[in-house]
Amino acid sequence: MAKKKRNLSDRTRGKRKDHGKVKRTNPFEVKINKQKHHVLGKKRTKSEHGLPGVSRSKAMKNRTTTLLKEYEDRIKVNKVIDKRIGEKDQTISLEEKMLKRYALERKHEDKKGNIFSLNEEEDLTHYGQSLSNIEKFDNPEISDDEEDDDDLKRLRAKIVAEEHFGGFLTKKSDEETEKSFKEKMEEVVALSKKYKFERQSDKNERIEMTEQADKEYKELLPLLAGITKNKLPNEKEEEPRKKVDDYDIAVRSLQFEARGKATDRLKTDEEIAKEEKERLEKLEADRLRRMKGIIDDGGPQITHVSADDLHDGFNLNEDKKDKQRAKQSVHFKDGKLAGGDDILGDGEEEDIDEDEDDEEGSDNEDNEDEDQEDGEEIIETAKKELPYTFPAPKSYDDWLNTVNGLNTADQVVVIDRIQKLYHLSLGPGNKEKLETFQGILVQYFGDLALQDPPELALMNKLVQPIFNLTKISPDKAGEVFQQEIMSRQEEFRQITERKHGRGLFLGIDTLLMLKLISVIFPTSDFQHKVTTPSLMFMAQMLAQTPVNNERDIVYGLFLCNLCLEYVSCSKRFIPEVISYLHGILFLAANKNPKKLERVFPPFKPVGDNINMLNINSTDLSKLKPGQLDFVHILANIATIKSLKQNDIRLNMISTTIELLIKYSELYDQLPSYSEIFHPIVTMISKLPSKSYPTLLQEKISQLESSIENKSSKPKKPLQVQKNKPIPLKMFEPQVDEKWTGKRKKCGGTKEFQDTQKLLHKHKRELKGAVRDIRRDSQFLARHQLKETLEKDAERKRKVKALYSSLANQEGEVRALKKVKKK
Amino acid sequence: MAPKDTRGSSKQVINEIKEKAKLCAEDRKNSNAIVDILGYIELEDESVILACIRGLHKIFTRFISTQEMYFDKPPSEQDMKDLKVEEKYKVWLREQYASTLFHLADLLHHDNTLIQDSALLTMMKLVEGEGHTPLRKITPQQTFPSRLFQKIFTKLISDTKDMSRLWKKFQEYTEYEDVRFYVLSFLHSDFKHKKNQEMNEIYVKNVFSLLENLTFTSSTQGDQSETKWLAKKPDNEEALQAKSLEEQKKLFSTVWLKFLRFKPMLAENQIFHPCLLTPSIYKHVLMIMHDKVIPNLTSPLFLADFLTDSYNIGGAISLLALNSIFILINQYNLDYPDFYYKLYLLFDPIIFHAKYRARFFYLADIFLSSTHLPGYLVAAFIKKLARLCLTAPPSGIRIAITSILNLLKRHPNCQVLLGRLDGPSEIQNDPFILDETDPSKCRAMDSYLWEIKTLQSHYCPEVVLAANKVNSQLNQQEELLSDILDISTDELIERECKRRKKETAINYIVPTGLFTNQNDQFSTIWSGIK
Repeated sequence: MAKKKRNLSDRTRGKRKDHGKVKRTNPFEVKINKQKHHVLGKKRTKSEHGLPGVSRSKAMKNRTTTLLKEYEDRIKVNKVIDKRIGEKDQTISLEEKMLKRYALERKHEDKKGNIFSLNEEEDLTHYGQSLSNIEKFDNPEISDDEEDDDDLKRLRAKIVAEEHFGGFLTKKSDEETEKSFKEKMEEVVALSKKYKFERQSDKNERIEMTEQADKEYKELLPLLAGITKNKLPNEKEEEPRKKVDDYDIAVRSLQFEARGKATDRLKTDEEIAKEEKERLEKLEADRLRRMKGIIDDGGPQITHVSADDLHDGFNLNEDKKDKQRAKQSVHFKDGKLAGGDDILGDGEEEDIDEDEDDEEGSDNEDNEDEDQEDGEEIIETAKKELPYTFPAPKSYDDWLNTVNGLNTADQVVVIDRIQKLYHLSLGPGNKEKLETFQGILVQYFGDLALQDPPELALMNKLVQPIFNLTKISPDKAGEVFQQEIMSRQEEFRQITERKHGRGLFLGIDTLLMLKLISVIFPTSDFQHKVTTPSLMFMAQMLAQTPVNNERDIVYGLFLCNLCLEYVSCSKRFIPEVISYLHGILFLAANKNPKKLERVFPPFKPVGDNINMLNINSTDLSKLKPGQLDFVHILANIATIKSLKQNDIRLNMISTTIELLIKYSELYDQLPSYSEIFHPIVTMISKLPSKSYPTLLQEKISQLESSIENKSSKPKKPLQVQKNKPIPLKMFEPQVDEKWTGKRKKCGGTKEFQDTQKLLHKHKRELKGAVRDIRRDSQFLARHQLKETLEKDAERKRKVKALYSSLANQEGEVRALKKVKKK
Repeated sequence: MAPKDTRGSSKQVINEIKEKAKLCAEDRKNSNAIVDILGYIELEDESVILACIRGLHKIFTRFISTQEMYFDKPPSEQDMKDLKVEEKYKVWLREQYASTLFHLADLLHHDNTLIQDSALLTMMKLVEGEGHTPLRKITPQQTFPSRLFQKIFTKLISDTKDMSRLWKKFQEYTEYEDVRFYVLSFLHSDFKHKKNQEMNEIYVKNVFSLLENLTFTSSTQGDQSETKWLAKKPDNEEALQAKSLEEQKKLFSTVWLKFLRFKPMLAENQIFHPCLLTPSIYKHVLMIMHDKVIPNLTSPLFLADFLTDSYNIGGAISLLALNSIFILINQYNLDYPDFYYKLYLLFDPIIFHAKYRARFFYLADIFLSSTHLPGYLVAAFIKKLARLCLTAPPSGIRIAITSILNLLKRHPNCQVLLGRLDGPSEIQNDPFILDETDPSKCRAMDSYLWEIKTLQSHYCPEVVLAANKVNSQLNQQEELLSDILDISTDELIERECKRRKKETAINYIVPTGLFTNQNDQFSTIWSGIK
């Protein structure tokens, strides 16, 4: 890098910085700018008071040293060049500088011709004295007195200060001046001797006093013996303490235990109930708000998630306090459990400790392996007993290995234990572990549904743990569920594409997954990350999947029921469901072969399957419509042929009617109610209901009458919505909540603001530079004026002198002339 | 002839063929190699056949360009005997050439697509070669080797094999004026001479793919000098005139009109042709009609009959005929009084599920964009669309609502559907008659858009947001329909998933099981739930 050229002004500035002194200002030099209004909280600015005189003189001085020098040197040709090595180079330290100079000097000397003086060694010096002399140790000035006292040092320092370098310049009293050097030295010697003596006597005195104190203590001892008997040194005391029995310890501990703390008053049942009610009301209000799709970024949503944190010590607020409390509670529980026989036995307690150690320790995996080994050992020893610890499953296969061969109850216990082992409060990495665990459980849930037969009991048990895990990190869990739904939707989409727009109903796991979602997430939200896509997917399936057999009908009916559950709170309108139920009624209705019925996709007015549910036998009325066993039918346990039996087909019709009754109640308030249910009514009239059992007939007539009732309600015409009038402008003061004392510069993008800042800076710098230049030129002008004035004055003076000398001459000449004349 | 039992490995054979082709092309001494190659071409091995085609390509393009086979006048049978050696050689070469062409034409029907392609390429190259350096003395009008080309053509419109793929390949050649002309004229004569019995579905399909892939390049509409010719461009003005664009268009029109007679006739008409136009080809015809056929016809109004018949059929075919009819009405002054009534009939619950939904709504938007339509008509369309929304999928509803809003903005007199000042306070039933086919009698103007209000509680958030726009006063700016036309339900679901929400809310009631929560709707309906 090229060295930066330092000019005069830089040096002046640098010098000024070196003076770190605090200057005391003269109060007469301070100028205070009086403020018109005092504003509270406003920072004191620089402009409030200043030192105009001082700064002006400082500026003058600076200019005389820099600008003036330059001005004066402007016509100078010769310059002094400083050839000293490293004089201006600040990177070289003083020592190096000297070394270099010395080296150069040596070089010069060598050149001069010393090369021929072979024997002559150079004489090394120290502070000008030859080292060879010093090495002789003629006069070693090492003090033999090791107790080099401060006083002596001070004395010497004084002598040095007064007598040696420049000491003579300081003022001395008259007496001192009179003393000769020898006298002074004698005085010094005497003083030092005196100090030495004093020290010696002090020491003696101290020894004497200690001896005396010892003697007196021994005399005192027998008197003290009676009192201090119990308080003998510690060694003897420890033994009897061990003999103290438990009772005493208990008593003592009770004594020192804090008696009665101030606690909150126990709430009465009513109060608890009221709080609970308020909480639920608040949550319900939240739900309604979300249902309407009002998006609020405020706090209540956050509290919503955490508020129902009642039951098992999960705390979503990662408050330190809460964390600590949770930790304590766990410890406490462990303490209790140590003796007792809870589900969590000794093993777990140990392992919890171990786990805690793990988190603190370095290697996690090793310990997990250890855990596993431990678990295996326990299995070996107590084969029937479940292990108490489990490694947090990292993958789905891990999990399957863990639960392999366990029955439903045991699996639930395992899940419970894993949840407790990796409780949030027990370690920093536990949240991630539980998140993976949640994903695994959801997948497990789906797989259980695909078992033959589906393990509904276990799935029911899984719901709560999944819910609890979902609560830990709702966003992550939501993504997991979304993934589950979207992968199925993707599958459905591909099938649809392959079959030219006709889909195929997926497995029973999809249904149960959708049901699980409805249990865990609020289905009434206007827009929800999980439930909205799920609902749309269900509607899509209903709209795009043609009915080929009885199983498809049941699947569709179950989907319709799921839709009903999704919208039961929000009462949202799903056209696909109504069309589907209409289509199923169409399958059951008597058809006029000459006239095509109007049906909605996925149903077709013609085809092989259009009479699938059209049963018209005489013995039908004896059958009793019951409920459909959806697991039995949808999990492919029942054969299609068995589904063709009249009673099952009748059940399907009955289910359809029941669903329609529910939907007709749900959509009560829709303005187009009659238009929506009109096709249903026409289709019902075509049902061969006379041959149906009376129970079903009653249901059908109930549906008919309720639809008729509701559609006969008169409609209200729509009203033109008027725009709100634009309000007048209000001239209220704008109130900022936080006043920082600065004018806020808001508006515009960040880039804009940055450019504004830079522009502002540039403007200020430019102003400053212009001002400096102006001042410089003023200074120079002043100086030039001074110069010219001086020059003029000089000239005048010279002219005057000349005139006067000439006048003198003239006078003399005249005088001479006069004399001559005379 | 080459020994057929030479059964070296195919690689060896290929190398041999390559070598021979090279030698042969270099020097006429090695011409006997042609015989060998022609022997190989009858083998089964596909790679060998390919190599043969390449070899023959090389040899004969070279021979054609060097005029190795040129005769001023082809020798007759009589003077066959007293020929010079040179001429004998030429005759022999001609024979080989003929058998080569025979083989290549056969290979056009080969099962391997690669072989088909290269055979076509080779033959067209030969056509090009002959076009520039003819094999016999020709008149200046006849630069194009039509006889050779006819061989290709008859293979390409065979009635036994579907050649639509090869026609796509052939498309690049139809840029040449002469090729296009000869294709059309051959097709024309083919139609003339072919008997009805000989036409089957495959033949029709091939003809259709021919017509589909015929491109009239835009440059042909400009000056004649820049047209591309595969063979030498005839310098004769008459010859040019005979193959000019007008002539081609004339041919094109007659060919199309003849082709369209294959369409299924209505029952009462006399059956002129057997119904050869399968529904899929019929739909395709209608799909390409508006941009490939109509602009190139001499008088597109000839199509009016065909199109109106198609329009009356109903269903998807009506939807597709719509576009062409619109072009005829718009650009060629077709008078179609019942157009809007027919259009009104097309609005059916099925359209929301139809494959051509986007196309239909796009066109319907154009048809209804006129501000001179009577209010009752627009109101009928609006009300019908709204009613159809009650059974439509969400993606369809999005389109329908946007169309409705656009119509309301375009025709402010229809805004009474959203509310009026002097209306009655209560209405017993919706006065709109859904099943009325005549829009002027369906009483749409007396009704209100309750359907949109209903859709405000639809389950799909996007639909609700669109429907909510009715709540405030409509602004003047129309929404672009094209943005939402192609959105499928799948995409809607995907969008719902990708929507960024701050956090995921979960239920506050702790569930105990799948079917045990408070507002469970299952337990009363299903058994088997524990």
